[in-house]
Amino acid sequence: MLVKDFYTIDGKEAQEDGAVVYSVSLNAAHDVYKGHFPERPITPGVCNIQMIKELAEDSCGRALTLTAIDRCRLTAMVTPDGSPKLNIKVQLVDTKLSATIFHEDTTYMTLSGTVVERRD
Amino acid sequence: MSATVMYSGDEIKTFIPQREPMLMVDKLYTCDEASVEAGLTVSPDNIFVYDGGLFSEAGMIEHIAQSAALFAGYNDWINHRPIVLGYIAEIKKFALAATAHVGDTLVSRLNVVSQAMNITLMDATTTINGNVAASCKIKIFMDKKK
Repeated sequence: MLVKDFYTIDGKEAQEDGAVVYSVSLNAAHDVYKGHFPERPITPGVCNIQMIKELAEDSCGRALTLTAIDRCRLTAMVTPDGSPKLNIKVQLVDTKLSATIFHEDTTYMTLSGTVVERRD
Repeated sequence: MSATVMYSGDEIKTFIPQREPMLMVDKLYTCDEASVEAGLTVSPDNIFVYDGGLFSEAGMIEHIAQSAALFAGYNDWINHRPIVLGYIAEIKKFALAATAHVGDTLVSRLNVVSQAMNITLMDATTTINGNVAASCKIKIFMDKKK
């Protein structure tokens, strides 16, 4: 995890179509919320993107870089207090990544993009 | 390549609500009603830096988003309007051409494509030493009720 202790993985479940659905908990006490925003903690959209990438890495066992995003939509706001539990579905087909962040009836983010193996 | 810096460091906080450790702009070069040019020098303690010094593309996208926030905040400030919170609504056609590392200075130029109600769509290009590192279209939602 790049942003240390930002979330914890509570579980993961492989789907028949090759996707993996993760369950995570956000850490509401994280320093990120001191700056985004003071007095109003909102999970930064890019932290959700980073989390998607890391769970994709977990699902395939390789370090990745997101080299393209065709489209990423933020459809509901993630807050560590209002939505501390999230499900993230990631599907990797060759270099194509598609992902959805959701919980119960709410979809928070959808992303489709391209990944390559990460080089430092 | 941008020559002069209009505002830098803590001065940037006048225009945007983000604070450490989520502050991803540290220079404002130019800003008018239709465009902005902003910069970030990637420091070793940036939260989006991997061991080894690679700056995550998530950090680069946040830098682009905060350049858009700086555009909105600077225009609000010169017009004596309050600074409001802004959120990424959508990112399209993001293409990473080169990764950034500790010590690199990212310079992002954003042009307004359209503005309607609380939504601003901007076209962004980020360069490092004059070479394109990333580009995208970014839609920002400004929460004017705060």
